[in-house]
Amino acid sequence: MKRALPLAALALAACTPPLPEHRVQLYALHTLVEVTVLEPDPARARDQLAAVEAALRTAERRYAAWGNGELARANAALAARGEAAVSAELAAALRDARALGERSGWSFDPGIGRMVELWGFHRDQPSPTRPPDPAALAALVARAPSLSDLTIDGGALATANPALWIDLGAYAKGAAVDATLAALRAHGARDALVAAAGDLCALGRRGLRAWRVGIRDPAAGGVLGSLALGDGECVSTSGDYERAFEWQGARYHHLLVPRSGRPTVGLRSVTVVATRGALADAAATAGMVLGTADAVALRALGVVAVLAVRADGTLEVSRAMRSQLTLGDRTRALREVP
Amino acid sequence: MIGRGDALVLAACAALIAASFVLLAPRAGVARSALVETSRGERRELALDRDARLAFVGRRGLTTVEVRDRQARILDSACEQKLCLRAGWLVRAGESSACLPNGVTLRLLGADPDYDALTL
Repeated sequence: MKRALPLAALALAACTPPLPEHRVQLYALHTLVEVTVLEPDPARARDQLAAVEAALRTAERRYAAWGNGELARANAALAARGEAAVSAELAAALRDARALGERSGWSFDPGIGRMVELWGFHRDQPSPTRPPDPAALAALVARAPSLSDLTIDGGALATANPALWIDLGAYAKGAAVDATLAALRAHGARDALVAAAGDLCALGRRGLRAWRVGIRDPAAGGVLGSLALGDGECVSTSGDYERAFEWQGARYHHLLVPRSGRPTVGLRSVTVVATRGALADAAATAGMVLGTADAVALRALGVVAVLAVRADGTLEVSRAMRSQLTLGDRTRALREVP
Repeated sequence: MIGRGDALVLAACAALIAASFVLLAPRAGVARSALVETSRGERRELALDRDARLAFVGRRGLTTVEVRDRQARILDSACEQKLCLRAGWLVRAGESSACLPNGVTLRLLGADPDYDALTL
């Protein structure tokens, strides 16, 4: 009888029809967001997808560092007067980002917006075509802008460093995906996947299996492997291929080392798994700056599952990541790190 | 009491049921068609058994999609960095490529895709 029970459960599961899939594509936060919801009730699925879009639009207005966003207005006020007033939600995000920055040893530092602007990576178009003037970059690096220069008291921001310009580019997409998951849960969703380019979070499962996310291969193109994501798990990939240009035979990309103001070296991409999107987003960027998948460096952030693609195409995989990762090419050179 | 004939019929039924699982179950990762979606709301499913080269109007211009030998790829697109071209031929269900500046995406559909989404 005991042996028959699992068989009966399997037979019943096999008979259960798959939940209808509802999928939508949105353009938000300067990227493509794909949302997949498994939901038997079409009306409820519509509500869930509408809630996702509302959450994304809110995040877009809140986190835009240039233009007309709330953060952009705060940046302008900080630059002009050294103080600014923001919503409780933006203040909470900045407190969170500052705490992550501190725990990462400031390898993740959203206070370097002026450097990003100097390189020309702050806007979608046109793409920069040459590096900034070395003297201008050196002068800005000497002023050492950092989110550690910001004090946050309730909704009141203040700084004594006029070079501070907050750019949540390595935090906002992850935080936006977190907000979409909260909206989906609030609208009764149990199984969903939200993918905002390099930042993805899963809710529940896809039928009888976990959600599967393919990791793009920055070296060869195509897909290097896939990750199984558990309920509430998020994955983030940060890579040097997202935005880049060539100048006099050298390649420059958009991920900057906060202390030098120059693009990171050593790795093509870093992928991390974490319990929330904002943390995964920040940790993937910190990994690029640190130049290693050695999770010891990222453990202060609470992240242990790390995969890095080195400049020569070899892989570094942390032990925790190894258990979740299925490689497409099992013969590929791989180094396991703690 | 089950006779020899009954046992044979039962065994044949069991074999038929087992074979149906293998023969009728969707094959994991096998692509059925290619789906092209644009930010202008166009959505078109392309059969993979018919070679074709089609242009789609995006935000900045045209994105050309090619289907050949049951594979699909973005052949060219009105964008600067051409990241979408780096993805190359898409073969397995779940593989995708996107030209974000032009707002055009290409994805292979299938019953049990290898990937539910890709990191960019």
